[in-house]
Amino acid sequence: MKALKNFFACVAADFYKLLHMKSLYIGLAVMAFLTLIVALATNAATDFILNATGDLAPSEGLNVTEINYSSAFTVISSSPSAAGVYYLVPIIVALFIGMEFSGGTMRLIAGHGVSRTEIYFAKWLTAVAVTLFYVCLSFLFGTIAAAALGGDAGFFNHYGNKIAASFGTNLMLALCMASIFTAISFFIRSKAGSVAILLVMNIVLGSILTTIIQLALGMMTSPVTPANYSYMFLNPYFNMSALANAAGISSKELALALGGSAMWTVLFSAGGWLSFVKTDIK
Amino acid sequence: METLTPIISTQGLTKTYSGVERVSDVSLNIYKGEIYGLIGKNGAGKTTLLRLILGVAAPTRGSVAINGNGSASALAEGRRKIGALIEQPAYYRTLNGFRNLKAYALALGCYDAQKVKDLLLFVGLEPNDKKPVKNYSLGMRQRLSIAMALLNDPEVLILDEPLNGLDPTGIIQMREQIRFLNEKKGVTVIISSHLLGELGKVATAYGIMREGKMVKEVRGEELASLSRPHIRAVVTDLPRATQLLAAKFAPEDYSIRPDGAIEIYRNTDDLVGATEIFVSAGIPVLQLSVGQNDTEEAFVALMQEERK
Repeated sequence: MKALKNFFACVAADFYKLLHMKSLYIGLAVMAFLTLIVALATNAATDFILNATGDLAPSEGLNVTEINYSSAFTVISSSPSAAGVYYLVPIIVALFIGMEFSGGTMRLIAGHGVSRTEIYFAKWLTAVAVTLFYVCLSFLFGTIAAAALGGDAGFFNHYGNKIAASFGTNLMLALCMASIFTAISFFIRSKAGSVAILLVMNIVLGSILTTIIQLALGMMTSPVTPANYSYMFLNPYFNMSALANAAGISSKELALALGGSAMWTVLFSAGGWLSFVKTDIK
Repeated sequence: METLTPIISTQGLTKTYSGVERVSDVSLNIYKGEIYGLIGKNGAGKTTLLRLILGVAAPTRGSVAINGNGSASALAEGRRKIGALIEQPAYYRTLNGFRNLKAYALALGCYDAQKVKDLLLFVGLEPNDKKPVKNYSLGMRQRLSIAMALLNDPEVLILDEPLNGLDPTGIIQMREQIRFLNEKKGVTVIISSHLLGELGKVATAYGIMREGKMVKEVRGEELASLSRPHIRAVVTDLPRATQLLAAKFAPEDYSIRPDGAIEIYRNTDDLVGATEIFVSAGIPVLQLSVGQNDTEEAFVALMQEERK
């Protein structure tokens, strides 16, 4: 009971500090802005398709409603990626954990007999909360944008299950990403260093490496091929993009993506915790 | 004040960084109620030793015990009763003083708004000051760090260079606060400082470190003897004089200084008697004087190489 009480004292302190971080609120504003940009771009692309003339003109009998619905679904399901959640949250988590090391307060708290396990997992829980909060808000912003793009009651009836699936899988992925952000921040122990490494991981693992592998496997758009199953299991950053298009993903692929994310959640959490427990705090 | 069980003790404590022993086989005892001064030159290992005691660094060899118990759970429990200011002041830059203490108190599970305000006043800071700590002066940050160390009513207070950045008024206030905490609240205080003069006004025991090793612990009568009166003599034949002194006095009643002078710890009224010891042995005396040892000088001598 005492250990639990001590742990939740750490969690309370971490939430208090997080709520006083300006970057938390700046990130929300950036996310809203990016969602707006995506919605405007999607709207412009849809208008282009519907109003094109000559060779680009849409075929007769084209279902305008379906096109609008498809655009609205794209905006919602790609919300976390489109709103830059996985660029904004690692910055916030890296700053949040890094400031404890650079300010000396990590040394102060650990030297006061607060268990390093309590410290690590309180920070992890805070990172999970921030990530989930941002993901949820990104879906909210995306839903608002989708409604503005013609997503009426019929849209939500038709796409409701797929939106729910996309939302659920993104929540699961958020757990994995929060574990990566926490572990890397504890490995690096500096604000700037952690931000840099996490953003590089996002770009290299999330975009560049994904593109290279897909090209090597002869794929250009869809991640769904048997040869790519192992890649889906092994790269949680890849899964961020794959899961954004959850309408086209099979149960097997989903299981692989989530199973892989669960594996990385455990590995990064264990690695980050061990590295913190076993090394000196400067 | 001494009790049988030291409140903090170390046994053969060693810490190696990159193959170099920064703390080497240090065994010390700090008793409840002491104001323990940890002194030594820059790089002597004082801060590393304090970090080992607090557990922010793991020892390469040796052990730390709090209230005689070195188990992991006892150390964790014991460290919850220690308040510390180690190296630079630690704080959250963008929060003001009150919020800094609140954040720290929440982590320790001891938050009380009134207590936080009282602590800020105790260290000379304004509780309603909205200024973030990044805009504080060094002295204000030092005071805030001391308030953070006092948050949970510690039984032991560890202060590493607490006088850094303080103006003369602040130094006096700090000294009075340490005395108050020690005498009125029974707090055991461990202070690491270069300011031997200031330390000498409060410390009741000392640990002298040199090159990572604990050279000597001094307390009680031995501490009092460091400032005792002496008769100082410079003779022509030091080896013969040393043999003579060894025959006539106990080892603690005389010493040979690094410059070759002899100090005999006798009342200065014994000046004639002391002179006759050398004269009757046919050892010419070049210089003779009386004086009282300066504790600071004694410690400086201990921190450097000794010759006896």
